[in-house]
Order: sequence, then C-alpha cells, then structure tokens
Amino acid sequence: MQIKRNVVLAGLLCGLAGTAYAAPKTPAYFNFFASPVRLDRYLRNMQAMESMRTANEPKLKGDRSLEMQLRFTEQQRQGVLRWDFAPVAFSRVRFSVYNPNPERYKIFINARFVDSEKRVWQLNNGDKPLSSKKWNTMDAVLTETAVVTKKKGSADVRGSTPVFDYFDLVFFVQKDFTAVDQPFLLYLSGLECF
Amino acid sequence: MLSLWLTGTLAQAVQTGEIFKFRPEPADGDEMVWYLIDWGDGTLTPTSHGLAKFSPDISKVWRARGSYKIEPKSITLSGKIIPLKGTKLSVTGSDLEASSMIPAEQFVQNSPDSSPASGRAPESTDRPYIAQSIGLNFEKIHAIDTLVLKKDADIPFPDSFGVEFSTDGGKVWNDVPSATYNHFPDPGEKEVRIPLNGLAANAVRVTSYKPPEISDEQYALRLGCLRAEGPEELLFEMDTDAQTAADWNNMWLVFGTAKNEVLHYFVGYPWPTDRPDEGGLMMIGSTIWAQWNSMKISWLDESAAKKYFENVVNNYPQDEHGLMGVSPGGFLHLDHSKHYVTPAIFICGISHWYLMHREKDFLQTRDKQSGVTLLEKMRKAMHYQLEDMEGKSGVMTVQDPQHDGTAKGTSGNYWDGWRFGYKSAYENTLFYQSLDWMARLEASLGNAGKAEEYLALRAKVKEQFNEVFWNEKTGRFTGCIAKDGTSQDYGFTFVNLEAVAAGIATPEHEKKIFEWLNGDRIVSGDTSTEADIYHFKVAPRANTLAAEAVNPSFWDDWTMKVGPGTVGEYGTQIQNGGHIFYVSYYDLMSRLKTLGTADAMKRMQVILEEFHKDQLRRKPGNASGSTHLEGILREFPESGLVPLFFVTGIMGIEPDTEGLRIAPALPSGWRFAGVREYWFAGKKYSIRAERELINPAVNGDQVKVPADGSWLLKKDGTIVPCK
Repeated sequence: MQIKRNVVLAGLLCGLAGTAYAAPKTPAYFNFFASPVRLDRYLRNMQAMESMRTANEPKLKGDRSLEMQLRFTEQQRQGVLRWDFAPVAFSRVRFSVYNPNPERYKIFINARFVDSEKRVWQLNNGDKPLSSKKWNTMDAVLTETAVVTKKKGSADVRGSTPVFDYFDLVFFVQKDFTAVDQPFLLYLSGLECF
Repeated sequence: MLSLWLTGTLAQAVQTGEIFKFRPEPADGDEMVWYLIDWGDGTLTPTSHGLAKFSPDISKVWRARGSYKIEPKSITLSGKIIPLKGTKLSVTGSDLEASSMIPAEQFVQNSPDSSPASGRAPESTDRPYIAQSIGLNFEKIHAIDTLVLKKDADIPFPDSFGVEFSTDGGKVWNDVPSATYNHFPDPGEKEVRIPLNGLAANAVRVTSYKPPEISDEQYALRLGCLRAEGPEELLFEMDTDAQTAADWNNMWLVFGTAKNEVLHYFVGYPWPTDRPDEGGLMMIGSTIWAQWNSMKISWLDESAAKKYFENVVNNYPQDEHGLMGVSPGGFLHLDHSKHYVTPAIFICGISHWYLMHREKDFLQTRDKQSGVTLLEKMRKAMHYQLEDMEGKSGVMTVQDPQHDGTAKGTSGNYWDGWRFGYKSAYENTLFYQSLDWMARLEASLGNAGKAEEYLALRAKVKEQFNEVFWNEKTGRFTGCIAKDGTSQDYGFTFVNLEAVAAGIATPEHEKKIFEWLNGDRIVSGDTSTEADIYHFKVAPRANTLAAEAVNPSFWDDWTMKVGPGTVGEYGTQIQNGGHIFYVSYYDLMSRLKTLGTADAMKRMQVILEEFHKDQLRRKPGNASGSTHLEGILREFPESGLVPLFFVTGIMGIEPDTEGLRIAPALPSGWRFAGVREYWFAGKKYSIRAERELINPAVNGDQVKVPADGSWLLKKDGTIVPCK
C-alpha cells in the first residue's frame, strides 16, 4: 500500500458546487446522462443500491442527473454505483451528489478508481456525511490525494499516468443508522474526468 | 468490386472507383484510441475506438484522379494526438461523379428533450453541458453510407459529439457506437466523412454533449454543412412498413456484421469487447460457434472474416478417436470441460461452408499440426459419433464418466451451467443435424450411398429421440437422461426449440411444446409459467424450472451458485431464468415450421418492437454486479441469427446438395421480399421472391422466384424447381 503525502482532499465534499481548480476545456471523459445510451451499458447498481434512472431534476451542470435509490439493511450497509470506462487516462475527477434527505439520516460516500494495472485509487471523505439538501461536490486530483493500493505487486504510481477501467462510488451508513429497509434517493450530477 | 489493401509507407497506385483500404500503424499505449485519416483530397475519415495495439482497415473509394498524401493520426480517449506514418498514393482512371446526397430537411434541437425546430443552429446557452443537436430528416428510410460534416466558417468545430439516428422520424433516438468522438481535432476546411455502413434511418443527428464555446461562457453547436449519402435500397427488402424494414436491417447491422460497433480489435472477431463498449460481434472462432459462424458470414462479401474462419476451423484439434477440441487452444472449455457436441457442430459448420462456396480445395486443406485434411477430420468426427458414442444405435451417448448427466456430472456443452451428459437431448439434436449436413456434403461429392446411409439413420434417431427424451408428465423434451436414469427436465426452452427447428420432434410433440411455451398449458411445479416464460420479451427464459428448485440440482456450480441471494438466483442469470437471445432464432424457425409464418412474425414483431427502443443494447446487472442476466451483447455473436431469420426463414435460403435452395415463406400480406446481395459459389446475387411471379428467372445476378414453391439455384447460375 502506498499512501500519498497529501491526503487532504482539495475541494472534497465542500457542500457546494464550488470549483477548486480552473478546469481544462474538454474533460478526458464526461457524462451528464443526456444521451440515449442505456445506463446499464456503463453503470451497475450494486448491493444496497437497488435502482437507478435519469431524472430531469435536480440537475446541476447538464440536462439531467442520475437518481439512485438505496435501501440499506442490517446486513447490507453499503450501495455501490460502478461506472465502467473504456480505458482512459486522467488524474482529476469532479462530480456532485445531491442529498435530498433530512440531516438525521447520515449517508457517507467514498470513491475508488481502478486502473488498468488493477491498482485502486481510493478517495476517502473522512467522517463527514453528505450535507442535506445540497449538492456535495467532490473535486480531487487523484495523483495527489488518493490512497493507492494493489492486492498483488507494487502500488508505486510514481511517474505513471493512470489509465482507468472503472470507478466505484460507494454510499454507506454506519452501525447507528436505524432507518434500514427504507428507500433513500440520492442524485449524481454527472462525472468529469480531466 | 476490386479491392486494394495498403499498409505502411509504400506509394501505390489505384483506380478511381476501386475500394481502397488503408491500415494505419497501431498507436500503442494503454489507453483506447481512435484514428483519423486525412486522405489529402480535402476529406477526413474518423474510425471507431479500440485497443491501441491494433488499428483498423479504413475503406475509401477515390472519385478523382491525382496524387495524394495520406496522413493518419491517432487520438487517445483522453485527447492526446499522435501523428502516424503516412503514405503517398497515385489515383488513375476517369473522374467519377460525387456520391448522391440524400434529400433532407435540417433541424436543430436546443436540448435532447426539446422539440426539433427548423433552422441551421441551436440557440446558445451559458451552461457547458447542455446537449445540442443538428440533424436531418429524410422523407424516406435510406441506407446511410456516410454522414458528411463541415466546420462553420466562424464558430469552432465541436470537439465532442456523437451520431444518433431514428427510424421513426425522431420519436426514438439511438446512438451509433462507432461514431462517438471526444477531442476531435479541428478539421479546418476539410470534410469529415463518417462511415455509417448502410445504417437504415429516416432521421440522423449530430449531438454534442459539450458544445463549443462560441463566445465568453456561451456555448452552442454550429456546423457549416451536414449532409448524408447513401441509397434508398436496404440490404433486406420487404413489403412492410418502413420502420419495421429499417429496424430489421439495423438488427443485422448490429448483430450480424457488427460494422458500427466499438470493437477492441477493430474487427468483429476474434474475441469480445469489454464494458462499456460491448455490442454486436460478427463471430467467435471456437468450435462451438462453427455452425453459427458459417450461417452468419458464408453469404457475405467479407474476405477478411472469411479468411479468418477458414484458417481457424482447420486449427481445431481432434483426438485419435475423432473428438474435436472446443477451440484451436485445446479440448477443455475454459480449462474445465470437454464438449462432446463439438464433432456435430464441426460437421454442420464445415458442410454448410463448403456447400455455400463449392470449393473442393477447401475440404483438402490440411491441419497444420496433424496434416489431416478437413474432409478426413469431418469423416472421423462422424465415425466418432456413430461408433464411440454409439450414435448408430439411434441415440448418441456420452461415455465419459465425468459427463454422466447426474447431479455430480460436469457440464459439457455451450450451456455450461448445466450438467448435460450421457444421453443428452441437446447433443442428440445436433447429432441429428450433423447427419443431414454430412449427407448433403457426401452427396455433393458424389457419395450417394453414404448420404443415403446417414439419411436412413436420421429416421431412426428421430424415432428414438421422441421415445427417449419425451417427458409425458411435463409434455416436453427433457434435457438429458443421466446414467443413473434421472430425467433432467428443467423446462429447457433452448433444448425444445432447437429440437423443433431441427425437425426431430413429432407433430404431436411440437404441438405440446408450443402449448407450454405459449402459456396455454401450465406445467405443474414450474417456477415460470404462462406469460412469464417470455418475461424478457425478446426471448423465452432459458428454463422454466429453477435450478435451485431441485436438490441435488442439475446445475453445475463451477462458476456460480444458484439459489436465493446468490449471483445465479433464478431470473438473474442467463442460464437460470434469464435468457440468451439467439434462442429466438430457433423459436422463430420452429414457429415458422409448425405454426406458420404469421405466428413466427408475431414473435418477430415483439422482438422488433423491443429492438426499436434501444437496439437491444441491454446489459442489466444484478445486485452482485454480474451482468449475465440477458445474453445479447459481447460474447454472443449468435445474436445475429435472429435477424438472419429473414434470410433463412422468410426467404428460406439454405445450401443443399445440388445448389442453393430458395423456399420463401412470406407473410400473407407481403407481395415481395429480397436480399440485395447474397454470395453463393463465388458469385454475387440479388435474390427476390415475388407473390405474383409464376416462374423463377435469373437475369445476370438478379434472381427472382415465385413466393410459393421451392427452387434451387445451381452453381452455374441456373435455377430449377426443388425436388
């Protein structure tokens, strides 16, 4: 396991669609759910995430957003949105999640990116749950902030440009979360990778 | 048409009107890439994306003589542009007229959900990710060969856009996977010519999901020119509504030739493309696909694919007894199990291929390892079935104790989740077909006696099949009879439908099977009954009794377990309550044969309606993330059999001993149907069935037959009534 020195995530979960960096004009990859392409061609909803669909509202930067329905249980306290990429190189990601649920329901988020060498680039949110009734923006330079691990072999990423295969957005609740077996909606604005 | 292929930097000369093919050197690297060819004549051709270790053949027909400098480049998905080695080309001959433009009305859309409006450009927006479109409406369906774009004189060309199309005038839009670009370089004054390979549509649009910035924080899509080129005629012509014809043709384009797909190797073989680019595929080279591959590509003008097929089939290993390997790589499927159905599939596939091409040299090509000819291999494979597997008794039996068909046995055919073995209905259906194909082959080679022998045995096999495998209690064929006598009947739709299509079922059994599948009869104890059997609409569930409903189960859990909460739970796995799309081909052929064209077309109409929605680009996952719920995309090139039903079912075209049999079965309301390009015995034909025609006729490459009757197109191009 390799822990990068700078583990403070710039702009991570700032509770507002703020821009921490001047964005390049065209991302290496972006998707705001407006195309006729079926979601299941590139997205998978897993575990406690029981469904997903596009929604016209709320939206942030594009025409639509992704509505995700989660239902946590005693046994399953995390839901995963897996996003498959055609192998593409990028080092910075930006996305926003809108949490319409009351503040008492504390839902947390992690993101992990898996590259073509099977290294996992993990972005942790610390202990902060998603802010209620707000867009929560994650804007991070992976090569500066991610914790990189690999099951077998070296996870040394010095000098390399990661080429990513997929991305897991993990929503989870802690043991004190009691609203199990209830549906919760969350919205993803889209994804930009630079 | 002549074809000239070129790679590297050698200067070459070609004639105007020839198909010229150029393959750039691969870009290399870990990212996926696409290529952009500057032909030096003011035009650019972009390609689909694929793995950077490979590059595609890119076709062009030159229309003006001259000397040209071809300059290719690759663009990585993240936007890195890599110049590649070019070449010089001299084009001679007479100048040709430009391609004909499809008459169209241009429209614009300010967002995907907004109504189309006339005009040349969408309104600008201050939001960078508002999708905008510029499109063309045609009065009629056309087969679009090329979409031509030019940059606006003042506004940047979109560096991110995709091509989308509609077959219903713009109500439903679908993407063209191969025509989606990010980081498109500024084309300047040059025309961008996007290949669409005969895509059938009456509306097409260019959509940018991130329109260019036209002024300070104002974004809008602008194009200097948008036009489409291509004929009005579609490959499959049919006397039905335009949308149905377009969708049927496009289904073949997606799952047949896979010309507009994203393919890792830039060709529709040899192995599938991974998510998120999974789509249609032309073929897989393994023995298991040999028959389906021949059915799909033997009639096409696809020289590279045909060369691949002919090379790969003679690399299938064969053991000293005659059993075939599952692939050029060996005898074990995924290092797990032998497939005792491979001799039958091999015989069916090679016989079909030979009878389509009539090249005896092909049968004499030798295995590079063993030196044995293809024909010798086929005869040995048949001998293996007859003798070692006791097929001459009327029932072929898998003797391998590992494949004894019990709940402890090992799976042993395409349906590798199930422990088919010992006396297997699936294997025996293929055996029955292989006797027919071998008989046709031997007869065509002049061995009439041998052919008669096989045909006589077929009658015995059919009789035995209906006795041994029929389950009176459920009113359908069981999957197999295990060595311990257990009847493994899980309501296998694929076993029953392929058996009916093969003609091995008696009429009484055919009737019972469709009563069950159509929901007119409920099989007691089944997990899925009535309309739920066609829950997925495009195909029946693979089995109507859950694997987990019986203990010990016939399910082979070498890849996954079945049961509540597991990855393989009934209804969430393609082989256990899910479906594999190709089974619909046998469903359609069975219905055509037993219930008639109208019933088959009713089923096809459901499939076409589903295809219309999303081109069946469906890959839903289950809670575990497994996307093996519907078997349509990626490693299922056999999905192409479903649209092929038009050729083999509606047109009734199939190679036979003496020639190509044409036995149309047109829907009652159709006056005609046809295939505009069909290759048989090295010649190109256009084959059309007409309701009002009385006698068949061949005029050059135009073949016309009456809609009622059965005809034989011979190798020499003459046509006679079928015996």
